[in-house]
Amino acid sequence: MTFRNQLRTGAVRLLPATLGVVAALGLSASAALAQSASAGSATPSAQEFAGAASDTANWILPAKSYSGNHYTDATQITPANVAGLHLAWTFHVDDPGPMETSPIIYNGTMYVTSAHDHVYALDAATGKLKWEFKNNPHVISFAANRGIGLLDGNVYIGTLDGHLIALNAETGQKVWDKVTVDDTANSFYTMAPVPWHDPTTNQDELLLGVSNGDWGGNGNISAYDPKDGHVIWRWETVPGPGQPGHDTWSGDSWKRGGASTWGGVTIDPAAKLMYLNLGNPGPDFLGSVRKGDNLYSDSMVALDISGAKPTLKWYYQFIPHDTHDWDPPMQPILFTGKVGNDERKLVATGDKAGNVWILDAGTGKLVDHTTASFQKNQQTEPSVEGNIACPNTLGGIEYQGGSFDPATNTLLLPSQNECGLWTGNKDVVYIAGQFYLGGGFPKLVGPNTGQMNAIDVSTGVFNWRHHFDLPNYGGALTTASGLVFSGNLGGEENAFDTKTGTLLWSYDTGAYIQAPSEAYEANGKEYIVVASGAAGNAAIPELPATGQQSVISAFTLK
Amino acid sequence: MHWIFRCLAPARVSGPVLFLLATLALASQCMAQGVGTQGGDHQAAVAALSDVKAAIAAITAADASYATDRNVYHRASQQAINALEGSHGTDYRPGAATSADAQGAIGHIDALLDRTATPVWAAPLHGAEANLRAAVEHLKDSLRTRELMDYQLVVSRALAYLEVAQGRPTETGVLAGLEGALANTELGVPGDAKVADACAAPPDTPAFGVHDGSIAWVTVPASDGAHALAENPGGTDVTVHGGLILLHTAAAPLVARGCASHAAAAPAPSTPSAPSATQHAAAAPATGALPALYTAAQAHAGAQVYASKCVSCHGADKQGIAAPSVAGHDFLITAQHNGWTLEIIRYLVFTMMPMNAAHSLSPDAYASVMGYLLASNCYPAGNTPFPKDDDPRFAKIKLAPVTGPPPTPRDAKGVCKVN
Repeated sequence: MTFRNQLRTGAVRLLPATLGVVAALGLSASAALAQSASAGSATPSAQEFAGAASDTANWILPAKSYSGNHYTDATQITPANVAGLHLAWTFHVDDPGPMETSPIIYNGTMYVTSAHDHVYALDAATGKLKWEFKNNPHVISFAANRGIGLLDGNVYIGTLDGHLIALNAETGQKVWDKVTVDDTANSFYTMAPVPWHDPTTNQDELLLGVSNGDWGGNGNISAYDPKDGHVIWRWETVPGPGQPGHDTWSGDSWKRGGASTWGGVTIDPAAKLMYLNLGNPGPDFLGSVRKGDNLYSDSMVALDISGAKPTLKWYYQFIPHDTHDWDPPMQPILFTGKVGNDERKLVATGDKAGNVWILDAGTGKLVDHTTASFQKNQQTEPSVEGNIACPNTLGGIEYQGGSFDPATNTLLLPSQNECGLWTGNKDVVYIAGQFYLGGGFPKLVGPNTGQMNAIDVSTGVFNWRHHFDLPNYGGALTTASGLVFSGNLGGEENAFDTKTGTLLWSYDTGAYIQAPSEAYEANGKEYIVVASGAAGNAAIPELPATGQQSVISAFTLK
Repeated sequence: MHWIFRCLAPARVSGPVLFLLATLALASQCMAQGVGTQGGDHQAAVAALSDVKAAIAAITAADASYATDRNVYHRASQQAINALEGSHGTDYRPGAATSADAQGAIGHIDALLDRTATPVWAAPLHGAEANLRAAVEHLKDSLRTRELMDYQLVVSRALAYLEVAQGRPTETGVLAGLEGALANTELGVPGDAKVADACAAPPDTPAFGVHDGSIAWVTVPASDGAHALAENPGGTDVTVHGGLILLHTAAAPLVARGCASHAAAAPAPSTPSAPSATQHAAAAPATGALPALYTAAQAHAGAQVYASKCVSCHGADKQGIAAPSVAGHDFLITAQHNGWTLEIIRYLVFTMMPMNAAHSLSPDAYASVMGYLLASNCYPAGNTPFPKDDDPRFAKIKLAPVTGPPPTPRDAKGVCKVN
């Protein structure tokens, strides 16, 4: 038995324990489950969410499972046959803009979203449209959406104007629509609502973080009732007066402190811990008005979710007092890896400054720190005259996430090399509904390249790196058969050998890729799917002239 | 009827108020009275003011000493820094004895501002803090001077900032700074004082009249006895009314306007969260009243600039892709809701755009883009071009949905066609 198989057996062993917790809470748990059953098989049950990691047919959470690990047990597509992977179908999206969606696939239906919050339900085997919902809300920031949540018979989407909307999963008809943000001038949603059955309260919840940090708001993670969208709890990311950490903000700078929750929600159901990566402090580029470490900006926090409301268990701040918008934007990856001779439960992330961090999942203590992007002049604040620092705001490691491969004990993560000419202002003025930056977004000064990285968890050293002459935003999907899939900004979907980093397959989708890749099965066949579209904020002068028509591309073997 | 105003440092007064206070006869025994448990905010503000006064006193005392020893002046500067920053401050140095407390003036102000709410006095306190921090920087510079003339030059700048932070009367007689916050806002109300709604007639007992956080008037007994005021209330209007002396503060006219507008709004049902179309129509100016801010030729030229520099992020339909919507009905609703003026839009366009290449266009190009955006939002063209330089009028032009017949056809999103 290989090391990988041992680990997988271990993962399966965990599953009954998780279900046991649900069962131990009594038959009342069946109330919520019965509800989803009565809504038909359009949406997954609590058991299916708990077992999402090992379900090769469906992809029901943004990063496949609550662990945040884009890893599939599917083995049909292998290093030996991947050269024969070909386009199975495409679906052209009638909405200009960047495509950042993580498709949700369940029982043969794929749900994708587009820049202006359109939702499309497609036949996962053919790409044929089942229904569509064209929202087109007023854009107060930028147009992008990262996907839907599927729960209790409904599809849920958080919108660019701060609404949470429920659609019937089978028809696309609107069930309810509610403004769920507090400050409508600054707050909007890009992340996918995360379905969660809280075993403590026996309540179905939608976990959703607000995007508002660069606009003078404060972040939070909230749980909403899927029945009507009312708030069940809210955890604020910037500590208010009287709370621990409040003294890391000078004066009342905490009121516009930022620390948004863009990055997704990782949960360890057995340990009852929720891991979140929090955004940069505000104003982004002017530190003098917010002296101190500015907690919990640029931090990973572990929240104890064993009670009715989350409480902070630990935090690890990657960049205290950030002045370059270098937050960790991706969903944390929770996994059991080998450090020396020890099997340890770890949680990993990258940040936009180009660092890869591996922490102990139980204590938050640092295990490994690796630099994955070109870094320069990181200790100097942006000056009025301007100064160059690397990466820029779209360099380093972005939001698409990555994976852990147990077979090779490696972390798979893409990273970018982009530098910027930064400028800071002497002061900052808050204008409702506008950026709260205290400076200008950096001007691009090159080199605007990227790479796919395989980092040995035990040593923090690269097993291999594949260099691109363009940024490589497409995250990393790892398969049990030994492949890594990732899309390049230039538009190519690529497959690498996980062990060696050899590029084995490549396909030009015809539009720019900055969405993560996923794997699923339809009618017993394994598919790879990725979205591409306009470059949006990721635009760089080096991009090839290609189409910007938004498209979903699915691949399978002949 | 017995009522004691909280006893505090005597107010700086002038003119009729001085006369009034003289008749009130500030009593010294009042100064010795204990501090109540109520009114923590009031006490913190008073403590901040007292620290600022201590800093000024230290500097002026050194100046009056005519000392020839440099250390006398340097010690005075350090005493002033200690009073401003408190013993927790990074520039605090023990040994220079002052009457300062641990928090210092800046610490007191920080503590006052450090709350979830944003009271009406937050703005003057922010201003005071900015001036105090500037004063500290100059005082630190003064510690490095060797010649008396250099010292006086630097310290006089610090003194100017300190006096602004303390609160000089403005040209209109309204107090600013800490004294202004204590005179005109609820910060001036001691914890044990009676508070009444300033929009109603004064009650027959001494009270502070407060509305929306601003003090409009103070009443004190007209009977014999000592009645100290917490702080100079500003204003010059004094009336005797039903056995009480009624002092209108400098903020009284402002409060009166606030009361009047509330009264006017009261009969009509107010639905600010979801205003109806008719309310918008009523609130928005008619097209005929809109200023002509650009020329048609400018808008035409601006369309070319938009197409090459802006369209990839803001969209051909101007509804936003990698950047926000910039024209149309929803945009103007948002602009109205957020209080955006033409000044704000101009500032963003001229100084922040394009996002990855700010300041990269010529002033002519920026002005023509402004013309194009105004045209797209159905503002009329005229004979005067949109200027390359800022214009103070722009701060008064608030964007809002444009009613009446548009100058050019509107699309479904309410964006006007630019010819």
